[in-house]
Amino acid sequence: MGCAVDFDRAKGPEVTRLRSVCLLGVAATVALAGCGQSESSPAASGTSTTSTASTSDVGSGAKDRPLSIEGTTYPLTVTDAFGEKVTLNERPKRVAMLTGTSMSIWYDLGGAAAASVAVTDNIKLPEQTRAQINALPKLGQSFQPDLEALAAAQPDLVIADSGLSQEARSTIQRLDAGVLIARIHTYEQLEAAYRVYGTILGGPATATADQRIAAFTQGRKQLKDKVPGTPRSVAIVYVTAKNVALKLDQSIAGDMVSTLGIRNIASGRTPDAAGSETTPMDLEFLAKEQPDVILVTSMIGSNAAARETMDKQLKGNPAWSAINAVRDNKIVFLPQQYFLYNPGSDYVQALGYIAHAVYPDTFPTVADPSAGAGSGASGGATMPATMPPGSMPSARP
Amino acid sequence: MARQVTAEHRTPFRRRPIYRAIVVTVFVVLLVGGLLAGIRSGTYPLSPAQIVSTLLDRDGSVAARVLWDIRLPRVLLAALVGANLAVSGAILQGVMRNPLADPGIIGISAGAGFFGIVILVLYPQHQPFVPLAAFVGSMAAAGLIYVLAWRDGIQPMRVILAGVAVSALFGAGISAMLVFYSDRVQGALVFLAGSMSARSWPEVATILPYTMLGLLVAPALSRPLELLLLGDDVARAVGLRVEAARLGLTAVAALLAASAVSVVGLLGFVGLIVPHTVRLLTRCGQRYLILVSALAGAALVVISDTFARTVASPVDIPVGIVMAAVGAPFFLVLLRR
Repeated sequence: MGCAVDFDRAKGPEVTRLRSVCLLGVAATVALAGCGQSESSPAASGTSTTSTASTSDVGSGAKDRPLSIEGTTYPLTVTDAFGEKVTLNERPKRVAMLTGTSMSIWYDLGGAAAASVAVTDNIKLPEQTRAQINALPKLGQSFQPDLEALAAAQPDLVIADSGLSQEARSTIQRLDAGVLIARIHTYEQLEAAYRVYGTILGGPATATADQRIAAFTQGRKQLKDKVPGTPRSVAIVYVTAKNVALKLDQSIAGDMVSTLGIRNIASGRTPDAAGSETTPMDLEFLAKEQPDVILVTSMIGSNAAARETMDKQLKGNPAWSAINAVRDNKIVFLPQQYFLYNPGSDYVQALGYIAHAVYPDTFPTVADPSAGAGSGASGGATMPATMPPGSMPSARP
Repeated sequence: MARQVTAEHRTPFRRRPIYRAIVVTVFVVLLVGGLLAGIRSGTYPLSPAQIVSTLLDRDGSVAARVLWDIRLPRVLLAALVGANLAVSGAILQGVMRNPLADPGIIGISAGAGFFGIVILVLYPQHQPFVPLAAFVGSMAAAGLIYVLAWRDGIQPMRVILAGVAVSALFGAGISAMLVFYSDRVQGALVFLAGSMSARSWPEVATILPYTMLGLLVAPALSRPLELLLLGDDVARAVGLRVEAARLGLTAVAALLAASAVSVVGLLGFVGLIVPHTVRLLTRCGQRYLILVSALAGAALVVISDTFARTVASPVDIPVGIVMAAVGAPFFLVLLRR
């Protein structure tokens, strides 16, 4: 076996020069592709895509301020999640909604939109307004709105989610409309949104907002008081069994968990990107911490399918069996209606769902949000006091 | 005069058997050292004494489960993935007669990745089908490359250009999936970087047959590879069926790459760096190149993954990010040669 001819000797000098040029070109392409991949993962969660340089400070707190408002009658000045101030001289007549969560709160307070993005069924909207909402001019996707359709709708107020890209934001801000960017994940942000939207809508909406907030406060207190003295710990796992991304305190579920005094094992960790609410953890970390309950969120369409898939994936992966909660079947699936998007007016039900998941003996029943269209409070099946191994009641279609 | 002739005929040190033996030994040591370091390190505190006793006698404790079900399969998987990708790159570089060929650059990984992403995003309840989908995708990409590059036979330069085009095509497909299903990307993004998180024995069982196949078949592949390197005309003259050989070799390379992509995601640079490094260190035959590349690839990925999961512990950095950090400077070194 001799030594094979190597590449340089097989060709003449012209070809070697050409090869160097091609090498340069492909190297540039691949290096850029490599950089692109490493930037895009694991940075992007569902909400934050490109990095945003706010006009004010840059940092993880830069885009999650709760909405705030100055004044109780017009003219009003609203400060949004980025700290940008918008002055409204009169009640807005044409509101463009680029986010389902704000739309849910807006309609709950009796408001109406002039145009909206496509809204999933998991967002709660008042039944009597469904037909009206479906007839609204459509503005594309929440994170990729159709800017021409938005301009055509001639809004005087645009409400968007903080996950909106920097480019879309600057384009929208050039419209002759006020732009509010809201991030509504924690309770503080939810309460602020109700208060601000109630003030903007004025009239009975302000009273409705106060009622909702009072109900939230009372519900929170009731649940918190009932939580037993010995705190349990949880891990809030996001999406798939192959990607151990844990939700942090600033996520919807994470905020509720800390409200109830439950320990989130990922609490205090640095997120994987500015403004993100997850961080990728080593499975050995979960083995070390051994959370009492594992809460699972997923993107799969229906709750029943998601539950089944997660069950199969977690139980079928031997690596997860090192976690006692998986072996003891202390896995609770978090329904999308409450935890993928902010539950809005169903906040207390969502909080109760977590309480039941972690302390099933203290909180024996909980309403299944996927039973019936958008109704969490009234009707809906109740879960059994203990979770039978390997099965959960499936949702009514 | 006589002395001069003798001096010119003395074999350069690099081609001496002793040098090759040293290189092999170094890589074996690196691999074994990497495996041991990988088993020793991790977020869960395990002392060497505990590790040894648990390996000898597996009890039901959490420590045993961590070692046997989390750490050990992950380290082994890293070695197998590294071996597969390195051998795939070595074969492709020989077949295409181009040192830039690796499953990532020429689109085979992108094809596997695209089909895998389709499952992960559109049909996440069918995740067990990802390996099959990845294989179909890689063979589709390989087939497409051949169709594009064919002109009275395969010219290696056309293959690289076709590969870049196919890679861009499938890359665009992947981006399209992520844009249109932007609410479901989380799991898919980590797949794109290449990650060993939460991998266990099922993944090892998936890839092991392909690694064994590659290593068993490698000595048989080496002769066609060497002949192809001499040029198509020479190879044909010696009696090699050039197109059949090229097809078969590419199929093996695609299989190896697809099996790695299906369990770990799109792990780049391994197939490029490792055969190059081995070739830089020693300028010898293909059989040797393939086997040493397997060793070196295994060592590289094991060490990278151990580093990735311990450097920012307990945060688990996807190993693909570490590979990209290593691979980019490598390109610069290559350019300067």
